Amino acid sequence: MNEQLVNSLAYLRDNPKQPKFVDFQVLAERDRKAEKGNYLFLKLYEPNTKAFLCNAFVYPKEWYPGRQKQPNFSHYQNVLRYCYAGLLSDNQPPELLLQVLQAVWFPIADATSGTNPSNGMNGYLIPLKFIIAPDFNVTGAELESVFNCPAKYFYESFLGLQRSIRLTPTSIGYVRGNAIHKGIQYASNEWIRSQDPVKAMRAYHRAILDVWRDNFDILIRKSYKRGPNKDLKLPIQVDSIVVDNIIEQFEGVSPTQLLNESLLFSPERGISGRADQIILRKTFEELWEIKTGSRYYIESDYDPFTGAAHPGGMQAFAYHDIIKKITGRTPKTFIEFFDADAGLSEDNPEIIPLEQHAVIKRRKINLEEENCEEYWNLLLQTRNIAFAIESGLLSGYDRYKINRFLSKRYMPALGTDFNLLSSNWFRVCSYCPSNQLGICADGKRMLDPDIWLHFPQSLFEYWAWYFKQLKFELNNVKRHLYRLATTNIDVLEKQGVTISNLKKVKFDSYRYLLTLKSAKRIFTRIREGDDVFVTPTHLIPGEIFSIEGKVQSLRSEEIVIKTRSIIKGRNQKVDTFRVDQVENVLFSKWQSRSLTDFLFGAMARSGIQGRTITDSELPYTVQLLLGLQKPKHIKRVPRTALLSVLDSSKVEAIEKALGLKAGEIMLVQGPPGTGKTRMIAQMAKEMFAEAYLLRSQEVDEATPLTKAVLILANTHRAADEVIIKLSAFPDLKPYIIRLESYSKEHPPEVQNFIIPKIVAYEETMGEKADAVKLVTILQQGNELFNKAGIVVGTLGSVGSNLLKGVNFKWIIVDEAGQATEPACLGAFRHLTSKTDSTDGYPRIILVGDHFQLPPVVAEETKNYTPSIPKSLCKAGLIPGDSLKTSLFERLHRLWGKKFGNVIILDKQYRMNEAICKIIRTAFYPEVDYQPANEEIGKHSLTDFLSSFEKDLIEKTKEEIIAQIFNPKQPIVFINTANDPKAFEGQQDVEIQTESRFNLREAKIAAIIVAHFLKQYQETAQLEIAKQVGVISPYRNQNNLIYSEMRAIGLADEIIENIRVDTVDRFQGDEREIIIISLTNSNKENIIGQLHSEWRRLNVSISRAKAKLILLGNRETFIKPGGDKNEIEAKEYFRRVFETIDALTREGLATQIDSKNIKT
Amino acid sequence: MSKEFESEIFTAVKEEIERIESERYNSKNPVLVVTSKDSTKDIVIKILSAERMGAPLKIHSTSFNPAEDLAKKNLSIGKRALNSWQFRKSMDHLSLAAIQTTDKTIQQKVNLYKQLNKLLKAIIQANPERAVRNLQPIFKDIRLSIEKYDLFDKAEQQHYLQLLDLLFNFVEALTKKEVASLTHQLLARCSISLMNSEYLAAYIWLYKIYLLNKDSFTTIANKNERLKEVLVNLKEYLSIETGLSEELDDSPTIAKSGDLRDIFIDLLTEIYDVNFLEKTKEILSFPPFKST
Repeated sequence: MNEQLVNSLAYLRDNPKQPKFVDFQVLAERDRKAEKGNYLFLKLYEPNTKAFLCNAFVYPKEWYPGRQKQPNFSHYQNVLRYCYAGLLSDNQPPELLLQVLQAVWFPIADATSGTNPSNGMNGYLIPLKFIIAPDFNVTGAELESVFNCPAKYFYESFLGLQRSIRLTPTSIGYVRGNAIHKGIQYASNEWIRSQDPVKAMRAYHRAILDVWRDNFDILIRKSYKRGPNKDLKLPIQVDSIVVDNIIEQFEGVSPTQLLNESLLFSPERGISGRADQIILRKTFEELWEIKTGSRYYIESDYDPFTGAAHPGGMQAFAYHDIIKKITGRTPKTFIEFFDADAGLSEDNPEIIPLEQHAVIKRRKINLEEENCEEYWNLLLQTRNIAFAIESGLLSGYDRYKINRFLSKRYMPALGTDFNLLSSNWFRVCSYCPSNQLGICADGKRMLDPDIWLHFPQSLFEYWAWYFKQLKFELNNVKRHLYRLATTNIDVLEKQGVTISNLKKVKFDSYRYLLTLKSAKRIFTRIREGDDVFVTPTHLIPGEIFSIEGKVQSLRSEEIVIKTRSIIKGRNQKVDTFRVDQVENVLFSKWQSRSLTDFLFGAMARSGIQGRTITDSELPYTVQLLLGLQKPKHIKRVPRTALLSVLDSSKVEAIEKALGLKAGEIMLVQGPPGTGKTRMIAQMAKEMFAEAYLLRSQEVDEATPLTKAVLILANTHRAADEVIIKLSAFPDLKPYIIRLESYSKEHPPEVQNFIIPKIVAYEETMGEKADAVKLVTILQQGNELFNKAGIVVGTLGSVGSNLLKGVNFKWIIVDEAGQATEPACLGAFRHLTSKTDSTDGYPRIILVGDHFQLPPVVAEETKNYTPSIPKSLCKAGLIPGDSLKTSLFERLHRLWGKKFGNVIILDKQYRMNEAICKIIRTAFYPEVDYQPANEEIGKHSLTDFLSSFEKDLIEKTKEEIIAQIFNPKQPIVFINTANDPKAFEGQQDVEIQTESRFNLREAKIAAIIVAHFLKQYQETAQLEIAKQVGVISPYRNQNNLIYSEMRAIGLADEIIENIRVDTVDRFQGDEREIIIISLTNSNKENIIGQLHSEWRRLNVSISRAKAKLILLGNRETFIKPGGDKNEIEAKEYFRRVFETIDALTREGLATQIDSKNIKT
Repeated sequence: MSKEFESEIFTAVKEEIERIESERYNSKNPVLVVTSKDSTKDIVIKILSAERMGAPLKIHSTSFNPAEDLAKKNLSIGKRALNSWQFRKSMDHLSLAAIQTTDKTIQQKVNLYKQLNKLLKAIIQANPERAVRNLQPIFKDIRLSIEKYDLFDKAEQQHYLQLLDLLFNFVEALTKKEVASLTHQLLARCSISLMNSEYLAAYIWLYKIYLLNKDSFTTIANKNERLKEVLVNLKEYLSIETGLSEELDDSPTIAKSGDLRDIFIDLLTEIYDVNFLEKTKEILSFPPFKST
């Protein structure tokens, strides 16, 4: 049992019947049957060992026997009751962690029931003040939001409702705030490093320039007819004030004593956040929260004496408490407020010490006092309500309950003390999405305050089914930090989320690259590009002093991380670190936003208000998606001329896409190599032409920003591909925009379509922020954007400011088979301004292939999937479906070939006939999937290698290598079934998906490649290697193949050209030669979770153009064994092997026993 | 009925409610079905649970909402309370009606009256100078909403649109500082204060009415010594009660605020040659549509 818990309980027992402030954590299980009054009866357990501690009673209004005076309001029991009720309704065990802050102990003589004398706890506990579920992380910004208006928090944070992205672009005030924040950060870092005011000033300006560049999409949506506005000017106007302040403030502070935007987290409070600045000096001395904005739009509280509004108090208060909790010291806390309306004046910025802040003053809180009741009430009420709302336990998906809770903005049902909520709430309405929609019962605007009672059941269940799954994912992320902070490091390492005992090798302070080395081989789920914390081994991750970063590279014993800051505090001398994977909420968040927008959008567009609407009254598009309407016949718009450049199925798809009416949906299925991207480019071109022709006939003055096409892809890579294909049409170039504010990671040919790049922002601005110069560039950017007719981005970028208020006639979604349904609904967020008709919906074309990789969904989420409501069966959902079932797959299943709106591209441009036959037979038996022409069908290794013949040193004498690379036989199957050395190995870790390897297969793969390449001159080897790909589903196996290639003596530069990767990362790519290492080889015939997804096999095989070498144990992959998913997958493997057998008989394939290959 | 039987019924209702809550928590909308096989006890339990939860009930194949009559009643109270400017009471009853009803026409009526409630309250509390600017968006929203109340017939929609037009004319008059309109607004405020037992506030509104119509009041007061005295006393009373007068004299004898309001209404009726209270109520209310 942990010491804190033991001491706290002992302290309470020593002071019976007296309420005492404590600070310990227990697991509380509710026992409803034992409740006979209006109290909650809880059984308390030690959280880790689950050892029983004692019974507890929680009474309303913090009552306990003998209490004389109760508070007028108290949320604790009410909110806890709702949380347990939520667990009960959701059929979850009635268990919650509680961090008890105030409690009373009653010895046995007073006990009415329940004791556990064996542990000496003869009595019961009455918790008075407590934090519910501290394992659930709520951020400081979220606390600020719930404090300002719980209803707004519910709409924004739980539901993900946003102010309509169809209407107004984000205010430039956001950029202004960001510029000053970042400016202070850059300048303070620079000043502390160099003690040079000129350099600090330069750094400040660099920050402004960076922020302007990164928010170009916001800035170019204004016209600036009267030159730069105050939002652009303010950060520059205050430059010398900021730098002077920094010089004064950071006198004597060393680089390691300043924490900028440092992450704070307390596993005892369940609160996290990023404090703008923490100054350490000797101890935790100062905490600064920086706010910018207009005094007239502050969303926080009024000073009770003067009526002046102060921003950001709740957030600063929360961080103040975390630091107090972690370090035991009370930091001096300040809010620095830059008032955009005050311009340059002596009291701008205004520095508000936390104790003088409206939030603290109004509640008469003494920050120095050891145990101030109001201190805890304010913090805990805000935190607990935020938890109850955000976790979903408060309302679940009960629309009656939601309607009831939202009948008043402050949700009186929670027993809240309204004095502990902001008194400035009316201003908050101006920014609230529910007010904008007119659905808040207490807002300024009222259109349909009882909308929760008016959704048709089918639509509501559709929303809830997907939403629950996304919420499950989000809630898991919300618990991740706590898990990292409180779970034993060995357990985390086994789960693959942590790498421990890493030694610092070097830190490149210029590029912020930290290289860490492990004494043992690294097995982990962490991948390149993942967000991580780097924490000195003796500290708790995330608590403080963790450096945030992104994995740059990961090798078997070394990890390189690009960090956001240098190593701080005294820890700079520490050289052992741990790296923990951080889960990101953004992905699930934007999906839930799209889903909720669809829900409310559907209601707004029904044209009916104020009553329950029926299924048949929903907009046509929504009915189509819910399976309530059948698609209509599409009239083709002829484009026969295209037949000279495209195959007939693509032309049909384009003609039908052009013939779609508003709100109609069409699917284009593109099996591997069929040229989906090429088709999309051509389709966009035709649409652009069509839209311009139409525009010349009927110019819609009311919606001048109607554009032709929006192309949304699931990944940046796919979006870039579309741009590259589009750039093949030179006439179109000036009208294409790639939706990306700024990024260096795109290929150079794509960068030419990113607005800041086109207008040469970096080059023109130089090193000094200049608002006038900026406006000139912005005007150019604005013109470019207005002219654009084809916009390309990712599904995640639907919220981009470049799209706000812009309507599109067509929306094409690429890789739709890989996007979850809620993600795909993002495409429906850009509708015309005709808000109440089906005409408002664009024409949607989903392009993808549900026989290739499905959406990426966490394994836990898949297992959680709720049962499918009856109403959704009409929509084509079947048992076994989950978030992993894409909208594309569902609609394909629902519509099939019945309505002519599903077009299948059947000509492929990649594989020769033999490889194509495997794909056709195993995966597309109903499609006439063929090479597009004879040249492709007969393509062989000879065609590829002919240009390298002059570099041939000598043909291999190794008979087996010659056999494998015989150009006449495009398929090679190397069977390891009889090879005793070829059994797989598995690391003793829980991350099954990464842990498997097969040394023999790795050696064979390496030797085949090496011997094949060594026939050629070195320069040719480099070129040929670029066309060699090795695929296995396991990272571990890929690492092994790399090291075997090195061991065999292949030069590093050649190895770098060979792509060895997982299937998931290979999709979209192709190689002349593909080697697939199946890896699993065991007597139990278990093929593992990754192979159970048979679509991976389709993708792996179909990457090959001329030669496919399949390496693995046939027995393992066809014999019975494994779960039902494996059995389903084995059917596909069986079909593949049988086709190889048939091809062998035809002389197009060869089969080799791996025993014959010497390694 | 024995106590045990009563307890048995309520326990069963509690369980049924929990079941409904659990299903609703998981986004379902359970319908309670009464069949011919159900015992009287089962039927009682189902009907009680349906009423408590506002859950749809089916008796054989006919849908039945046991709370529908309550919804109608609450809508009616809500309307009446609105027309007597009891906004909170009106909103509470309308919210109850919204939960209780499944009748789509009633739902739209409830929605409309909630909007009108918000509008009327905003008009009475409006700062006259900014009334048009601040209230125009609300008028616009309600006008657009009325077009979306598809279960209202054309005449009914027209009726409410005309009422809105009249009300908007009144708001424009406020912004133009037309004395009669400002006086109507103040009289409504005074009446609301009286309903809430805020007597001092009521005196203040009355005094403001006097200031607005000072010339007319003075002319009448010149002929009526008692009225003259009342007005002097009112001023003195307010300055003492609000603490504006530094001398702590005894408060003058003054009519009760309710009586004083009646006196003012008579005076205003004389000045404007129209029953002023009735006129105020006529302007600031929403007579329900009566089909011909």
